[in-house]
Amino acid sequence: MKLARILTFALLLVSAVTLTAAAQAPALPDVDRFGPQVGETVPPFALVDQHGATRDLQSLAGPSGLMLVFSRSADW
Amino acid sequence: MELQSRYEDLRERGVGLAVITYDPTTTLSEFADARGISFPLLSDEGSATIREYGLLNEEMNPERAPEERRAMMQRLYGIPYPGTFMLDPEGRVTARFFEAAYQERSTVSSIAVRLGDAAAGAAQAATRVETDHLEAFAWATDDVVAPGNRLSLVVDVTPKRDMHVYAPGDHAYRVIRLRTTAPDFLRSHEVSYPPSGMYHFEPLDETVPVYEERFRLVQDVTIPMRQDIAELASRPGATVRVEAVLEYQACDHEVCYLPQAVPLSWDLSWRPLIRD
Repeated sequence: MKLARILTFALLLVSAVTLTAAAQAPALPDVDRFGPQVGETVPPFALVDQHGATRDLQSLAGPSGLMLVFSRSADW
Repeated sequence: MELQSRYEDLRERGVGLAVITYDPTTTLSEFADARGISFPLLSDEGSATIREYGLLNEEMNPERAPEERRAMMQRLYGIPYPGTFMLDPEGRVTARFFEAAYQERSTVSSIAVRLGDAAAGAAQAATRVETDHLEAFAWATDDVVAPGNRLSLVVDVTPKRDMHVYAPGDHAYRVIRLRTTAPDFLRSHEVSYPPSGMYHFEPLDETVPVYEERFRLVQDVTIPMRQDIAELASRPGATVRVEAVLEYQACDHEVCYLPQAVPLSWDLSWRPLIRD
């Protein structure tokens, strides 16, 4: 089953990355520093969605704004 | 998927929703079909937008990885630090929620509660408890959870007549707090306290920060993405009981009562990770 394989791969990655992290023991980055901060305007973009339509911030936002989520892969 | 289940809710509030990943559109369209996703999944293949936003996860840079991990990192490189921006209609950031671990993400309802949205979602896994000093309504932002989720445990506390409990500050009284006790894999974040009032206790001529009216404690917890937890979560019908203790000390205008510890629990179910 495809999704089962995806899950297995995701977990393999998790353990691999965790092992790497344990071996090197880097401190977790301070993610609050990365990316646009509160009060700043985000960069514009034009990206293609799952239906093949090109979307920008204006076409995605509702009258009260937009929840914009950056995520890891949908594939694993 | 958690986001899909909140999509309608967001739309009713006039808030759009979009997710950006580094996947090609074919992957996104298969994923959307398989999971019944109707909100936009945006393909940032090559990660140009992720880079432009300053969110490229450099820990995945294969050049920094040891030899044996390089091939795997090659595939991972391009993912962003996971997080959520709340934007106003002009594209200005009004709030942001980011996690260091790439498998983790705040749930939509948890974000709404932390934004002070009193009506955020429906109260899930709710219980009401009453003691001699207060009434507490304990609920969770999510009753269906998955490894990697950061959700909020919420306690709405109403001190009884003439009672007060203690807010953080420079004093020796027991500050009200929520201490999670189970399951042990749960990672607790700092409790978020609302602004408190000041109480002047005349006999001692001392002024201390207190809550005398209804207030809300928000305790975020993260369920780590770990193999053993994912295995737990994938058992059919598996549930998880989150347990915590509400610790506080209450006083009225004359008497200070002994510190209390009130057990609370939330019964949550696991979101199925594998669907047929």
